[in-house]
Amino acid sequence: MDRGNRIMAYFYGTPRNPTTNVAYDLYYMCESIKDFLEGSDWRTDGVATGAGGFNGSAGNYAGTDATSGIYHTISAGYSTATTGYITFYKKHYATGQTAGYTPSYKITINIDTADGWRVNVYDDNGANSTPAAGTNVGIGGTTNASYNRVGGGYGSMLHELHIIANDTTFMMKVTGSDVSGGGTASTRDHGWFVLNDLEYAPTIDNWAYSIDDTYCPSVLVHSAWMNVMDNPVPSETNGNYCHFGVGQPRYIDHNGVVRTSMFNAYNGSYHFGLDITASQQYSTISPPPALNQEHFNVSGGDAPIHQLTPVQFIGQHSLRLAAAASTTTAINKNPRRGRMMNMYRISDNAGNDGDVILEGSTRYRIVKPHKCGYQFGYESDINACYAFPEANVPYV
Amino acid sequence: MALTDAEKLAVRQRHSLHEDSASDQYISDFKVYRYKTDTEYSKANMNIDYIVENFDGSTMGVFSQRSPLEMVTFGISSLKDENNVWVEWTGGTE
Repeated sequence: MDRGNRIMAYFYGTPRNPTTNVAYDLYYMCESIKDFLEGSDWRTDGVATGAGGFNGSAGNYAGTDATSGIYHTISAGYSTATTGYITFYKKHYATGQTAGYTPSYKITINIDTADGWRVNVYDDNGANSTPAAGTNVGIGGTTNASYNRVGGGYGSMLHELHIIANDTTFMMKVTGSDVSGGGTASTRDHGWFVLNDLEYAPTIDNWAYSIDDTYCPSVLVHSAWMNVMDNPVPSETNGNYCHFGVGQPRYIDHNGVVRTSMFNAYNGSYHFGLDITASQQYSTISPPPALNQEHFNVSGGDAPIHQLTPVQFIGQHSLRLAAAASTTTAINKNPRRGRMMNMYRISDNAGNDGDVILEGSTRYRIVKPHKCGYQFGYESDINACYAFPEANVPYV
Repeated sequence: MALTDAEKLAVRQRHSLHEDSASDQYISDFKVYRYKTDTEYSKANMNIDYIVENFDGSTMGVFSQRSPLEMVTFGISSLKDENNVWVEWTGGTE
């Protein structure tokens, strides 16, 4: 049933062929994601009930519809039997609230043997790719080396996929390996991608959009954490086995010029919020990803209580004396700050991907995308967790 | 005529391209195009499908900028540009 690009907010899928390599698995998976974004029950479509792709009967499809038209121009395809891709556009939730204000981004998800699952965000012209210039870079966004790669060229290399798609947020959490079986607890890799709208600030955003109509006040967060997120031995000694990046793909800098955000996800340090060096300059979020967050043991209640802390965006800045040498990132400072709508940091180790916490009757889905509790991501050893509402939250 | 090192650095900074040649995301070879002067701006002329035939994100890239109205390409030998609004910039004064 096609409901005119109206979608359910939460998707969970696992491969139908978890241990064997089957051609066109990834293409069928992309078709299922397309079904989901187009508002049909992907679990009952032929691509999820046949011999490949996602296992529809084991999947989940929950929540309530996003506003019609937020996700549009959705297409999926493949180039070989071991590849798949899906491309779509996401409008900012406040599109149309002011006449002529219709910011959006184009999102492309690619999957193949060489680079696994990864995501690129383009402006609405299809240019200015972030977080990497090319599509041949793993979801960690640093290089196309194996330590960026989550999953591979067959569905069997995927462990599971979670997606939140509502008016303000497209979030994808992918776990997998580069070998058949989707990896074990000590080898499984976790990739995370979020494109999350900032709270609409009409005075700023209307002005910024008038300067350049590729401007869109949404924030890209991505990460890849290798081997350790499901691992009872939590720390990874390889410094390049984790990556974390944040940025507003297209923004207006402090001099009023449109820019493409700089990302430096390597080591999970530069965007981690506690990299206190003379050249600290990259975008980050608050609560700082590096900080750990304890829960509350509320007596007489449903302890532990997980506080829902709204996540804030901090655009790229310049922690330096004014006379210090300049780099691209520091020159092109982004003054934009703001609330990332419907994205919450919650207590560490609150749960596993897809678990539900409740605030009254409101359901939130948890993901655990990266480690925290230390200045450098690659040495951190506590699972940071985030929560997203399962149902859509419309703003009119 | 070719871009000077100073002009290349300025292009990198305008388009937020990595400056460190040791970076995995460093783009060593790129072309710069500028919108033809006295030509009316059209958003359609900025679209990736207008700029290049069969865009392949694994080998190609386009970064665009409004002030100056300019774009940087890599992995693209020639533009589609049917309206002929883009002129390769080789440095110096326009």
